[in-house]
Amino acid sequence: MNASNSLRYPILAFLLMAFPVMISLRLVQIQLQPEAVQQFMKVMDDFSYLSRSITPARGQIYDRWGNLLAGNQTVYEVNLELGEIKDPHTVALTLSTILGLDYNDVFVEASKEATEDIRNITVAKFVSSEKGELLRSVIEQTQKMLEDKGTGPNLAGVHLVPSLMRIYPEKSLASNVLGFVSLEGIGYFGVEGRYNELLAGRTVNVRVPTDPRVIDLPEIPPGADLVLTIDRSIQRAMEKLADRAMEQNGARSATIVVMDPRNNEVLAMATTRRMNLNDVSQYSKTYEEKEIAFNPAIGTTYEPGSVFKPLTMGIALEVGAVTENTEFLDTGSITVGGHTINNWDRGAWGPQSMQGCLQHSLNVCLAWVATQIGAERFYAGLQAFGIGHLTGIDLAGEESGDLKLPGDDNYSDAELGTNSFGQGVSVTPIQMATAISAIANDGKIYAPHVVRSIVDGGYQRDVDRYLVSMPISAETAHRLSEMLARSLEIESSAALVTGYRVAGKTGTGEISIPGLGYTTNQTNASFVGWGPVDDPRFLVFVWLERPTSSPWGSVVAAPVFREAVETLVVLMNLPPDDIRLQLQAQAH
Amino acid sequence: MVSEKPVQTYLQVPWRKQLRLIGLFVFGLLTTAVVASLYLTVSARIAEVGNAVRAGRREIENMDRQIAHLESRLAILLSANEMEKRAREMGFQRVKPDQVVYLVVPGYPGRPTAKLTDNSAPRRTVVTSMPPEYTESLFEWLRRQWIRLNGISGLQP
Repeated sequence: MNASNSLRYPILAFLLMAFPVMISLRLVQIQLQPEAVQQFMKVMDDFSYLSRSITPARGQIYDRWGNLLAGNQTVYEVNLELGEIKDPHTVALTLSTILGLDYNDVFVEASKEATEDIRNITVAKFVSSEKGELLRSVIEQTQKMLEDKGTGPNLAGVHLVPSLMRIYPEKSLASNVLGFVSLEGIGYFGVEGRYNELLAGRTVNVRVPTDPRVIDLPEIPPGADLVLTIDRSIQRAMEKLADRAMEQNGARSATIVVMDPRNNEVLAMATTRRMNLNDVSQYSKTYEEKEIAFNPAIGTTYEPGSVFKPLTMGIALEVGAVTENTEFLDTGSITVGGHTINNWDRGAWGPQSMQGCLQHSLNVCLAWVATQIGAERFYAGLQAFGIGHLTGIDLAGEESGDLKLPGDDNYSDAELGTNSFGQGVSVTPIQMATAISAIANDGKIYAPHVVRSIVDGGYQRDVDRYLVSMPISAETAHRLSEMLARSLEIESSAALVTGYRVAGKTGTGEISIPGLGYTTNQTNASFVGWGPVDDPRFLVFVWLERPTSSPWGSVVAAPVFREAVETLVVLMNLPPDDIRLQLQAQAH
Repeated sequence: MVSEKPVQTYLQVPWRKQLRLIGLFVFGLLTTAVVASLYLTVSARIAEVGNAVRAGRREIENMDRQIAHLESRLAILLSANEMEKRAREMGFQRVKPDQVVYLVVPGYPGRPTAKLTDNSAPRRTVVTSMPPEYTESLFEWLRRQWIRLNGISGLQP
């Protein structure tokens, strides 16, 4: 054995030993350096996992009968995978023809080389399903031609990524109730705004393992579905009626709220300002630029006028300040807190019962009634009716109105007199309707709501009615209801509906013009009514803003109430009173 | 007397020693190959099923999206405007209160409001298509078999 041979084996042995020793040393070195560990972990993660953001499908919204009011539709995002593009001209030509994109813009983008930072470019978002399917079909056809002939136009590198986007099949129907969803997927106003988190579900960023043996994909539940209390047919009928009433009376706007007073489910909330919810860009033009509320029924406050009088009378009857038979001598004026109050016609109506005061809508009488109640009990009563507070309706954008209370900086003693007939106090239509519902529902006020049930995680949960307050007793409510029904009948009001006994009250709220004060030329005309009186199933609130045909609620709003009820009784399958009682007797 | 250390006089012939070594090596190699092939087979099947599950989930996502899209398309066709237009074209008119005839239908509870799902059951039941053999370890499998066998034997008289 020569010298070179004798060294060969030790050298080989040394090398074989040195290799694992070096690996071991490197491992120890890595373990002792946390940064290196993190770096290696990151490299490992990059290879082992893919980051993916999963946005669940937004929950759908239905009316009370299951008609879809807000659903989802497929839209596409068109991406160019720069490394795959072979024929920029064909890509640009196809996308400009089908999607209406600028040829030059797309050609420039499609001609770019893929880099480490930019591998793909999005050239179009929210492409409709029709255009997306057409583009997909063209891509498939060119691909097939290319495979068959080996040459031809090439659309390789054009990818379509589908996703879901909000769609409102009824377009503008109940737009003020539904609200809308922005392109970013955020709900604004109405139900969409109020229940955004519930409807949207939870977007989660997940790390999906690249190892196909690891089945570790998270189950992302979709957003909750909502069933509303809204009746699509009633909503549509009321919207048509509101549009017609606004036009016929030359009003600035019209609002009609229909509720079931037994639980204050909102059956319809119609306003004349609506937008096609499928075109979000309409929002700024319709509302923002004009600085008007998205839903005037909950977001616009105004001085209601005489529709407020039943509340004053209700408090007076409840606290025993007056009875139905209390006599009042109307001399045509009364001074409260240094402010002289006159009747709507500036006349003196002589001796009147409380029935007569409501029937003739006498401001002087109601101001006197308020003084009999006393400020403390009067304002406590109004607060129990919910005046000055949010009703808590489950819609985004509710306003609370304004009720000045004794002790407030801007309160004067004259407020007691003017507030008694609905001046100097501001309310929203939903607030007024909710307060009046106490008279129609045995003195009980339930929280008004538009969501009837929530479908989440496979379960449908009904939203329970929620008792807010009981400002008057059932007995007071019945007596007051009867007084108001008789008032309409004696006056032969335009609100009366053949076959159905209804109760209600007109309202003409004067508008304060800066520099001129209150004037009857500019009014808010309202009517609130309910029926059938012996078993109320509906409560209708009508508000016409600044009508020009006549300033009086009895002239412009009462007929709208009648029309609304005539439509409602058919849509709600409510037989005339005599038939109903007859059928009930048969059934028993 | 000179004692001599006994010397083994018989040696295995070299080819037998080599054969034994080769045999051991081949046995080791075969064992390793069998284990490796088993591992590869199981891994490949797990990967295949994993891919199938992922493809299935993608398919479910696509179908959910299509269902949502078609529901919306149907809702457009059945929207209040469309229905009223069609009703008018067919000669229907809006009924007036005095034209309605009311009847008592014994037992009819009235029109039910929307019921989108059965309260008592989840809307989507998660069913895994992966048999446990693809996800459990060898020890878990052995334990399960042990429990199964004991359970069956325990039931027998």
